[in-house]
Amino acid sequence: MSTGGAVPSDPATGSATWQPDSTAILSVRDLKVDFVTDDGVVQAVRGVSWDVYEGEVLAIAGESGSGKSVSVLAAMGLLPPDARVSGSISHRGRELLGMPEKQLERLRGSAMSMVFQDPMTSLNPVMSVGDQIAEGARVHRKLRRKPARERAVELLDLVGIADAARRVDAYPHEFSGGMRQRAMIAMAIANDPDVLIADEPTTALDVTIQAQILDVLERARQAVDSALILITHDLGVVARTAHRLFVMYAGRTAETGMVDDVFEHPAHPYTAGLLAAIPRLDTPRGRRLIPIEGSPPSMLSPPPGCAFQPRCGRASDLCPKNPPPPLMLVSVPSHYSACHHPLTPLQTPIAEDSDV
Amino acid sequence: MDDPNNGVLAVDVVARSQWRTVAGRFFSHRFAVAALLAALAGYAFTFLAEPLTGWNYKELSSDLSQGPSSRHWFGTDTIGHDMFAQSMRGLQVSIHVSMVVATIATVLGTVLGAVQGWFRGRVDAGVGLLVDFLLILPLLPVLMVLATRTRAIGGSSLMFVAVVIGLFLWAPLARVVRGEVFSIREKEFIEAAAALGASNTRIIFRHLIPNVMSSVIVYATLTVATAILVETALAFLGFGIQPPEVSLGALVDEGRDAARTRWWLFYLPGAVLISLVLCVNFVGDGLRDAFDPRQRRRR
Amino acid sequence: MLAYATRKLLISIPVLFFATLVAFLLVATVDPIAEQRVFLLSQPGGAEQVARLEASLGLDKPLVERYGTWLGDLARGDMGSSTENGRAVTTLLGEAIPVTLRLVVAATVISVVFGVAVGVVSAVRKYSVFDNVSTFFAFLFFAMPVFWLGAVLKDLGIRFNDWWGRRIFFTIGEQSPRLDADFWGTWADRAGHIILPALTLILIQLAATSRFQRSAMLDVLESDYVRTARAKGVPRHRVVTRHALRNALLPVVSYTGLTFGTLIGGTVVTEVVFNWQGMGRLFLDSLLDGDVAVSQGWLLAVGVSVIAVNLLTDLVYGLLDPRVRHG
Repeated sequence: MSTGGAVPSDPATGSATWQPDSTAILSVRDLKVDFVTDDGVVQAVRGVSWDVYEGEVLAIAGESGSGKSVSVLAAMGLLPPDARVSGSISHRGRELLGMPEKQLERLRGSAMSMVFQDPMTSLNPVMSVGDQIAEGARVHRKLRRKPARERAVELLDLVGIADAARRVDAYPHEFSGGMRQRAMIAMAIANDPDVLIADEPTTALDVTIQAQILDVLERARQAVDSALILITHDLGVVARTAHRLFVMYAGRTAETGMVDDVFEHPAHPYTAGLLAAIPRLDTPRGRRLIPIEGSPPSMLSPPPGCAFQPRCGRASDLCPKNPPPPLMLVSVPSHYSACHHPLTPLQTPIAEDSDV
Repeated sequence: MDDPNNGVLAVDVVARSQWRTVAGRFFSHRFAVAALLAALAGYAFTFLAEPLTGWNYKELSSDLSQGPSSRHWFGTDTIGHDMFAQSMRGLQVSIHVSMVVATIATVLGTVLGAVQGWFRGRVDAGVGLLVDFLLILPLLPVLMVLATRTRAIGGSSLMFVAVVIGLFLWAPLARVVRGEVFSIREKEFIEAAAALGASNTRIIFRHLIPNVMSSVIVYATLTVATAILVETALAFLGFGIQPPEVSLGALVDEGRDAARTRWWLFYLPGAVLISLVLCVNFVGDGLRDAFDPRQRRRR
Repeated sequence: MLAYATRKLLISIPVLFFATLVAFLLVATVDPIAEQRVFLLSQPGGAEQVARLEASLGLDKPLVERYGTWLGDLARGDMGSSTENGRAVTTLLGEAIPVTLRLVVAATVISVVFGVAVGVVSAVRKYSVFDNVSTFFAFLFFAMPVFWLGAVLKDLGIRFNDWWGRRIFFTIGEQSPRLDADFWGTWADRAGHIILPALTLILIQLAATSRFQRSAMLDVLESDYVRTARAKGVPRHRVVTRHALRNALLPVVSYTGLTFGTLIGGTVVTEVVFNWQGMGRLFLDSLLDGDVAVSQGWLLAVGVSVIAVNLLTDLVYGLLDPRVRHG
């Protein structure tokens, strides 16, 4: 991977099904991120760990301010300089935290790339769309102007921009929001990354085209055979797109597991609350959607112990004392939850150790 | 919602705590606070100068062309004026003129900008033409012409100069207020006020203008600095405030040929003038930081 | 781009007419024969002489007609002549404009180039020693009146010459009187004269431009599209030059156009301080003498230059920003 060249692609993993025995591409261990502001220290991420495996779609879900965007920005090395980051983030075994900027630049946009939330502001208004897509290829593959431009046309075509050969010279203001997000996706896959990160890619878009963009994202992911980290607050999007789910609350892990398992048997009251608040086709008619009471805590002074405890119906005296560690469910291995009073029993801490 | 005052009170409390936050941020800005105190102290001192030193700015002493001493803090000029008394009077004049200018320009700019943003269409286009014209107008030459035109009708009086300058300095604020009104007019509370049948005047003065006050205050401070520089430049060229009234600009003009031999005539009034503008700019900077903490240094 | 340029050009035509009206009206009510009038009216038979004088200058006609005549003459390249020395206004302007233009062009080019450079470096290295030092000087010069800074530099120049024992800085006039030199000698002499006045204008313009560029650059560096470029792995220097700078130049381009009027004022003051025989002196004298034709011609020339500069900045803006060009 040192030259940022083609990702080794295995036809067997080209399909959308994730193999549990795949190797981890990106590993996050005990990540903590603080921001020092005038008002105090904001503890945006307070010790989370997760892996992304080859070819899988991992959804990171949570409310705004839960630290989901901050953790992936830390992986990309795109946090503002005043952020204090600790823990470990490694890409195929290479530690990214503390890596010199020059080396990080070689990884960004080639091995790892990112699609941002707001396509209206994420494209440079004074540079043509084609130039912006071609730039990645020119920087990483040292392509000359012409082949880079051809690559841009090819990518625009792949993400479903009609008449790509002509549109390549257009400027962002000549594109609609949906087209701009397609261009962002084209930009992100320009160098065959092995991890693609999409930070709320449909939130800023019109509801009618959100599904289209998710389709384009999946098509693009399959075209380059990469893993996808999808950050979202929308569990509907998780259900239709992701293989595995990681739920964050107030900068910590709440629950993680295969999407089907978590949706079927949520162990954490917060996850259960989120699921109860979304409309589903299989819920009986006339049943009400139940919102979660209260609002997420201030990360300037998060509550001690379990951060969800002030909003939780199952909380006991234990909850404000100790933050619960993520533990494996008794019934399903690979499904973890961090709760003192889970809806489904968890294994006891000493039963089995795990690196999650 | 039984208590009809409930909502109003809540809004009021939020607004008050916002002002308290802004005030807190401003007062934590040491330079700005020091500058504000220095400017206030300087202004107070202009009134104390005569009782303290015993010299009136109009008075001619028998001490001609003397350097600074305990008797004449800033020395004297060739005909025996006490330069400290003159400088303090100039400082006072500059502060008074700039306050009048800033008041006129701020009121005009805020109201016209809000009117532009609220009514849009032809009103916006019409006022906009005037704004564009004023923005590119070479102000100093135009004021010089006006000064020659109006001298006969008392055009060199302090108030008159201030009003004329004020009429020309409202355009930048109007442009900013217009832009902000354009963005807040779409907000729900404005739409609600309009839907409840509030008159245009009421919406502009009760809803729009209070919401653009942060820009208004910052620009008002900038206008004070500009006004001081314009007033003194006019006086320097001989077109502004005329003797026996004193302007720091005129003092610098009279002193500049003596800069090498009687330095106090030139450098001391100039230092007073710069200190004043510096203080105003520091206060403006502190205010901008207080209203817009985004640009602020993290500690 | 062509359509945009044509549109901008067409818009400046009515503005130009408006400028002629303002230039005419600002001065038109001045009585160019005020002194003679007082003198003549005290003489027997003076009233007829005054009437004759007024008729010869067209002062007996209504204002609108005088404006029409002035405009008609203007179209033929005739701006009237000075009532003080009888010389044609066009000749007077022709002598004064090149002198002032040297100063304005030198000051603008240098202050914009350095202002952009200082602003960009300050923003990229926020709160570095360089940033703090440049912030300090920007604050200082931003608060300085042009006339005082000019006079200080003049005084320092004279003191330096005395200390050095030779004249290094010229502090009076735009070139040495009765200079007898070849082409290069003339320009060398002019360069020696321009240093201090240009420095006066540069320091003040530089203070404003560099602060403005710094804050524009900081805004852009925090923008989403700069983050996108970094996410693509674009090296830092390329992010600054290719992505950030071009966007951050836009506000500075409009700012330069808008402050041209202020620069004119600063130039008038600077010319007075350094005794230049340029536009500033011409205008000041015309006002003091009540020389109407010269004042009107001067205001018009300055108005045209302001319109031209703003047209130029509009075009540069269009070149830099496709949204404006296409819109």
